[in-house]
Amino acid sequence: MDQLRVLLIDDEEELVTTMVERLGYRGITAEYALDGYEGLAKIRTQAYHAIVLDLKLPGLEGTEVLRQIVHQYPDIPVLLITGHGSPIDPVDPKPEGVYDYLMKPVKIDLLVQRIREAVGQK
Amino acid sequence: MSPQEAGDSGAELSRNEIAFFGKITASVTHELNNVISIIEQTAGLLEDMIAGEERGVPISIDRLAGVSAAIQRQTQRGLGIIGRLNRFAHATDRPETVFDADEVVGNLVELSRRLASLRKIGLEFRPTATAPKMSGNPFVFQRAVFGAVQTVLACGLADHTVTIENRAESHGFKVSVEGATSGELGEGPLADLEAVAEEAGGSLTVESGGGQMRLCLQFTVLPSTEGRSS
Repeated sequence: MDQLRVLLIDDEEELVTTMVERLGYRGITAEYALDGYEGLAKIRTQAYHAIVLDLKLPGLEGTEVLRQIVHQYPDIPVLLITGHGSPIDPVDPKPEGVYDYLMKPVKIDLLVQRIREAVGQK
Repeated sequence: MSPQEAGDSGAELSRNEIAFFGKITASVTHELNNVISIIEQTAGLLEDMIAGEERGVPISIDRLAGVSAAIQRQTQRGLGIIGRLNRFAHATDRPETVFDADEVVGNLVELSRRLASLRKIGLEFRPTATAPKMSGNPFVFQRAVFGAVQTVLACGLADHTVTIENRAESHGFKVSVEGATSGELGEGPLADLEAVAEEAGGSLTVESGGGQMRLCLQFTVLPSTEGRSS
């Protein structure tokens, strides 16, 4: 498989730029988008092995971004990163199409492990 | 005193007041979680850089300075959030007190900023120049102002700014909340807001048209000869 390419969608720019750099240290090429529209535009034009998505996004809500990704790109696994109070159903915490979800603050090595599992690369 | 009697006396927070408190604290703690996440990732980046140097990749002094500045920036951001939440929480200390309406509304606007940014709407606060003193319940006052801000945000246009302006008048004090909106509000939200304004000792007027909405909360204020303390 080519080097893993991942898209992070989160409106905290300092958070995602740091995570992009840290993923780079671990051999993963990561890019970021600061809102859902930008994220969907990048997915249309770039190839990614996985998407890491925060549900709390400005403008287009994360749940709608998730719906569109799952509908239009069902082969790309999505990992949700959520803060407390995010709209995750405690009874069914993994919405359809979501490989896994992690709570902030995320341990980078756990995220890398989940990304590799999601794309079938152990 | 039974719970029922306590509720009847007004000594307990109502369900709506608890919901208001919950909405503010949920938003603020979410933002604090982001601050902690950034500090966590930045500290982790430092570890990555050290590990890289042990493998022969030199650490850039400029990069180190950038990492240190990021941690300091986020620490200050977190302290600011905690301070604002603490001032907000202390508004429940006394049901009747004298307070500076500029300070209270300014703090509330800062606490509301993330909720607005999720709608891609900016908030601008314009205080008076006279530090108007109000007598009443600062928590209920904030709930009324927050209700007005939320009402305008609910039908506000993305990529616009909602302006919250305090204005001292001859026999009163006014908070106006104005922004570009995409449609008319139903009667329900405005009736609820009107009731909250009355509970806070004020009244609500609504001006709407031409794609703009302006909600005005009118209160009486204590006469004060004091200047702004800081």
